[in-house]
Amino acid sequence: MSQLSTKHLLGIKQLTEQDIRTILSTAAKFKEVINRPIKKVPTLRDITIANLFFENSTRTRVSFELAQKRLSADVINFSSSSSSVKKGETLLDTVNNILAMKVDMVVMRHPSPGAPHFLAKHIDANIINAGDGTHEHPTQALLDAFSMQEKLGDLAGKKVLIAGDIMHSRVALSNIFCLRKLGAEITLCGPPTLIPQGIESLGVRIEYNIEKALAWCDVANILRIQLERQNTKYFPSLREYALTFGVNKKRVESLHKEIVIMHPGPINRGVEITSDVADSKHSIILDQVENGVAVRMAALFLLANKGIEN
Amino acid sequence: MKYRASNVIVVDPTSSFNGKKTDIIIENGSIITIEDAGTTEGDFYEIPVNGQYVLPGLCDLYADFCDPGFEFREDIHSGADAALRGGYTTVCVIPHTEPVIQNKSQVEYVLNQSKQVLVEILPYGTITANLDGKEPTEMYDMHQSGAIGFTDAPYSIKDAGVMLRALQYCKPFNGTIFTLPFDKTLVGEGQINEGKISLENGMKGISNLSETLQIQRDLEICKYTASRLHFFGISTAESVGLIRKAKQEGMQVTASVFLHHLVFTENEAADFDTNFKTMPPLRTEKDKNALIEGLREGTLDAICTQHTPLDTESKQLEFEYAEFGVIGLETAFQAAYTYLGETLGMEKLVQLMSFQPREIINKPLSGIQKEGVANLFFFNHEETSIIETGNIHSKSVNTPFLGKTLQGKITGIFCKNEWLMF
Repeated sequence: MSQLSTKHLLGIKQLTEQDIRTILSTAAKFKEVINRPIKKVPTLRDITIANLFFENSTRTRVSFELAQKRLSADVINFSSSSSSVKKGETLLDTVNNILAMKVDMVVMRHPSPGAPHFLAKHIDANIINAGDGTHEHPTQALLDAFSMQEKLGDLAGKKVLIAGDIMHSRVALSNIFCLRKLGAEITLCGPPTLIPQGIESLGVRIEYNIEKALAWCDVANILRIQLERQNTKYFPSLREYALTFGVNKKRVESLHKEIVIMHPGPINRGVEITSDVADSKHSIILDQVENGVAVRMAALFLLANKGIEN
Repeated sequence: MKYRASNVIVVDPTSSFNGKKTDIIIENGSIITIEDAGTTEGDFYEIPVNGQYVLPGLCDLYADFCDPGFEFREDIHSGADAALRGGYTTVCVIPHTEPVIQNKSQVEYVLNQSKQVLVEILPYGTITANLDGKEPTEMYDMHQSGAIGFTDAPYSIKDAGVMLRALQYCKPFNGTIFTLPFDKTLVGEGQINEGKISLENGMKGISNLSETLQIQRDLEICKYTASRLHFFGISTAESVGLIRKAKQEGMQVTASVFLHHLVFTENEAADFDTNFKTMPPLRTEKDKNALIEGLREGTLDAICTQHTPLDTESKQLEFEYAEFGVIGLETAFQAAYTYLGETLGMEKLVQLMSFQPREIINKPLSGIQKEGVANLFFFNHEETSIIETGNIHSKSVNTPFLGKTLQGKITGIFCKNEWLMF
C-alpha cells in the first residue's frame, strides 16, 4: 500500500493530493472492516497512542479512541483545560513527560493555532492534529470529503457551500484546503464580520445571501456558530443570525433540487440549522460520524506504518 | 597614550575624508590627526584594523534593556555589551521596566548606570503613569533630569485626549513625544500581519489599517498642537505616504523603521516560528519595499533595532502565547549591510543609523574628522558571521537571524576614550 509524504498529519495544507486520495481509499477499506461482525483488526498492536486534549471535545475524542481500539493500539487519554496548562507546566514539558513513557503517536487537540506544528519541531513521535484553535482540523476535512464522495462520486467540479462562522472555524479552513486539492468549487456564506478579510485569495467565492448560496451548491456544509471562540460581538443576536443565515426547511424546499446537508457537529439546533433539516433525508450528518472512525483508522494506520519504517 | 588606526577607509558622509584611506590618531578620546594613509609617523599604540572600514558610532532610538525589573532578560551591562558588539555607542531605552521610568529618580538611575558602561544609555520617560494610558507623568522634571523624550512604547496611546495633552505639555521645553502607532481596538487578538499567512494559519490578523488609522489621528493632533512627534517603527506602505505628506506640509514629524521590517516579511511566520512574532507584525514584500524606498528618498529618518529581549520561557511556546519581540542590537548593522548594502549604500546606512537618529534626540556627533570625538567603530566587510545562540551576548536569544550568515563583522569600537576589540 502506498504511503504518505509526511510523518505527521498537522494539517491538510501539508498534504499532497495523492496523500488525500490515499487516506480516502484506505478509509473505504476500513469502513468495510468496521461493518463486519468482528470489528477489530490487529494492525496497530504494540503501538501506543496518547490522546492529548487540551480543549473540550466529545465526538472527536471518542471517534479517535474508537479508531485506535479497532486497530488494537494501546491508548492513553489526557485531558486538561488550556488555562491550567497555560498557567502551569508548558506544553512541551507535558508532552515530553508523556513521551518519556515510550509513546509512539500523539493525537492532540489544542486551542492555539500551530500548537502541533510547534510540538513537531521538538518531539519525535508522529503527531495527528485533532484541531488547533481556529487553524486546522484535518481529519474532519478528510471525513467530510469522504462523505461527500460517497454521495456524489469524484469531487472535481462539485459545488460546495460552507456556511456560518468561517473566521473561528478550523473545519472551514481544512475543508477549503482539502476540497480545493480535490478540484471542488467552494462558496463561503456568512456575516461579513465572520469571514476573514481577503479569504478569496485561497480560491473561494463569497456569497452573503444564504438562499442564493444554497441554490448554487450541490452540498451545503453548515458550520457551528463558535460562540466559545468569540470574545467580541460579531453579530447582534442568535435570532438575527438564524433569520439571515439559518438553514431551515423553507429555504431548502424552495430550491427545487436535492442538495446534501452536512454539519460537523455539535449542532446549535435552531440557530445555524433547524431540526427539520438536520434530521431530514437530505442530511448525512450521522454518516459523517460513522465515516469519521474509518478515516481516523486510515490516518493512524498510514502514519504508524511510516513511523515503523523510519 | 596615542592610538593609531592605520590604512582605514572612512565611511562618513559628513567628513572631508569620506571614502578615503586614512591613518587616524586618537588621544584622550579625540581624533587629533586624520591624514592620508601612510603619511603619519611616530610612536603609537597600533589598533589592528588595517584595511578595514571605520564608521561613526551608531545610535539606536528604540531598545528595551529591561533594567530594573526584568534583569533575567537583559540588564544595562549585558545590553551595553550587545550594543558595543553591534557598533552602537548610543542607545535610547524605552521605559518599559518594573517599576516603569516615570520620575526624576528613575531617569537618574538609568543615567548613573550608563556611567559604568562604554555605551551612552539615554532613557525615555513614560507619557502616562505606570503606562496606564491615562494619568500624565512629571515630564518637565524628567526632561530636566535628562530624559531624552517621552513614550509609552511598547504600548500605543489609545486615548486621543491623552495624546493631545502630552503633545501640548511638551512644547515649552521643546520635548518630543515618541509613539509606536497602532490602534489597539483594531489589533485585537491579532498575532501576525493580516494577509495570506494569517488566513492559511487560521490566526487573527493585524491589518495595515490598525497602524494607518492611528498615524492619521496622531498627525491631526500634532498639526493642531504644532509639537514635535516621532513615530517609531512604521511598517506599512500607506504609512510612508502619510509621513511623506506630513513632512511636505512642514510638520515637525519624524519616523523610524525597525530593521526586521526591512529584511523579513509575513512569510517567515508561516511555520509558527515565534522569533518572527513582532509588533508591528512583519508585513508584505510591497510594504517592505515601500519602507526601503521611504528611507532612500528621505521620508523616513532612522533605522532602529526594537531590541526586545525575551527569555526562552516567553518565546518557546505556542505562537499565540509567545510574547511579541526580537533582539537586534548585535546584528543590526551587519544585517543592514547584508540585506540593504547594495540598495541604500553604506553612507546612507550611516546617516540612518547614526547621524539622523542623533538629530532626532538632539545629540549631534562631530563625525570622523580632525578634533572630532573618537566615537567610532571598525568593520571588516570581508568576514562573515553565523548567528548562533552560543555567540549572542545579550542575555536573550530571540533573534530572527538565528542560523543565518551575515556579511561583515564589527571588529572593534572606540568611545568614552576606551576601545574594545572583538
